Amino acid sequence: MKNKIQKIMQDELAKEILTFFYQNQSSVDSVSGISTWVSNERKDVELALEELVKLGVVEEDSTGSAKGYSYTRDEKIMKIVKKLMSDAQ
Amino acid sequence: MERLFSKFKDNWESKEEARALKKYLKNPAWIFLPCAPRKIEDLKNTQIPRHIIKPHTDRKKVRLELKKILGAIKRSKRKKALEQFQYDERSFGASFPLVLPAGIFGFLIICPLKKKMSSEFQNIFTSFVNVAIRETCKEIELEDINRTVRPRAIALSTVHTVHRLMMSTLDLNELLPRVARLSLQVIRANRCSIKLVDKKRKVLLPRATIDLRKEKTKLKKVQIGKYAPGRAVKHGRPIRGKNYLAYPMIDEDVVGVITLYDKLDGSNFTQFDEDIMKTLSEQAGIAIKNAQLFKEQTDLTLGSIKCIAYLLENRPHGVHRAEASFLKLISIIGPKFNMNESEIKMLQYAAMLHDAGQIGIPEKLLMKNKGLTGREYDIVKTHPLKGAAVFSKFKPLKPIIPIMLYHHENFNGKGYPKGLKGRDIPLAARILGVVGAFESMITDKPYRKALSIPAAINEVRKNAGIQFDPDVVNVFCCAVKRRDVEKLLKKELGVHCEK
Repeated sequence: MKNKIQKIMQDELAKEILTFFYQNQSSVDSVSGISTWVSNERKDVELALEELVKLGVVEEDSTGSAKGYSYTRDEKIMKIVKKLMSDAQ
Repeated sequence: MERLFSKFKDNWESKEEARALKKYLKNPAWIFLPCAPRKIEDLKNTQIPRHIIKPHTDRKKVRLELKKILGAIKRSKRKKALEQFQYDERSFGASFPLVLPAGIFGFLIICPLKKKMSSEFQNIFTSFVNVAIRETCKEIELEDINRTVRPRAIALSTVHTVHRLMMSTLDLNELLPRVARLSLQVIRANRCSIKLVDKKRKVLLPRATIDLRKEKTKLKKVQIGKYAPGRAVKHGRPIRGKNYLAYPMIDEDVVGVITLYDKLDGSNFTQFDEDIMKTLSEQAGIAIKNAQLFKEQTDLTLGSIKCIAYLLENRPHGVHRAEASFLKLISIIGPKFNMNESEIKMLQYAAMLHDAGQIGIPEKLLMKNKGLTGREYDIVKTHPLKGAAVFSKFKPLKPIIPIMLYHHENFNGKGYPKGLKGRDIPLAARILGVVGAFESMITDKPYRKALSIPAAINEVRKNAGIQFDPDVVNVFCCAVKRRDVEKLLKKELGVHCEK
């Protein structure tokens, strides 16, 4: 898992989104909200989010047209991200 | 002051105007003083670069130079403008007050200068310094906004997203786990349970829970007034402990309670968590109430339909037999054609009422055990129109009107009332056409005995592409052979399912 997260963090945008969720762990936001916070194109953010959801680092809650993304609650994944974030600083 | 200094430094390196200044001023030292020194001792304590104050051995000379700087600072403070001074025999210096609308916040000393600044040059210099001040202020302002407004904006956006997610469903079974999930997410807790008030029994019934721990707690009902959730409901206010927070969901009256346990980071629940849950529980309360009202309305509609269906069924000629098995068939066939939940529900309603228009047909025609004359058949053929006319007055059932109207249309265009052909017939009507005809075939009629199920399936298959949509027939044939459908048909109709 660590390698996968490390790999996805090589992508600047995915890293930025992950950093946003790491810093705002209570946040639940839509694609357009997240694209505002990371100052990026909605389409690109959507693609990056899809990858992060597949990896389990970000969780998706969707119903009809409404979709919300939030930070994982998986303890193991949270520990890995915490370590990677502190290494990156 | 440090920020201004580094901004000034950047501008000195990069800005166009700095070139002219450099050319004129050569390379003097810049000293930023946060306030006006009162005496020479104060000035001595400031970090004045050593090369400005020459390493005179003569202490008197050093004191004299510092005195000149101090004098210039005082004058520039009074004038609120640049003040030049003779630094030593061969060079000059200048003191420039750093001014904001609130007043002077510091001084910039520049020296040594080879020559005195002309008034034109003083203007350029003043504007250069003021630009650095303005830019620094703007940067600080933006950072302040970012530090204070951004977290609030993110929180607001979360509230908005949570609101949208909660309000986008009217199905309680979908809504309650979502409320639990979102509460858990926003508060970062380990466990969340949603309990709803059962007014009759005065208890709280557990309806949804999310537990991230390995050892899960068993769900149990709670008496109103007991434990944290019960007390929160009884008093209509949050109950907070170190490792739990119970927040009542109120919409006019108390609907239920959201209880969160054990924060992920092991910290205690705080007033801030309570404030967040206030918004969240209010939204949840409204969403739950909406879902409950919607369910009540749906039950009322369904109840009315069942009443009408019962009345129709119990007429002497028994015009209606939409049983659970046919509703089941529809629930299997609908999704195969990408129909959504509400479309399937409407199709099921239509199945229960599709021949309701026969109520306007003389009973003797419906009871006739011989073939109908051409005129009589024309009268019978008006029943879809009559049924549609009756239910067009009932708004919640508007979507079933086209289904009722066109379920006797044939795929080859030879049906009634409009003679629609192929895909011009609405999909739901094409599905009901097949299911309704099958239902009719396996039911006793005044003019013929019921067919066996296999015979009826064969009849349906034979008419694929003629009377029925072949795609619907294919899906129907698979669905009707499912064990659960066979079982249901056998139970409801007492029909022997021949293999």
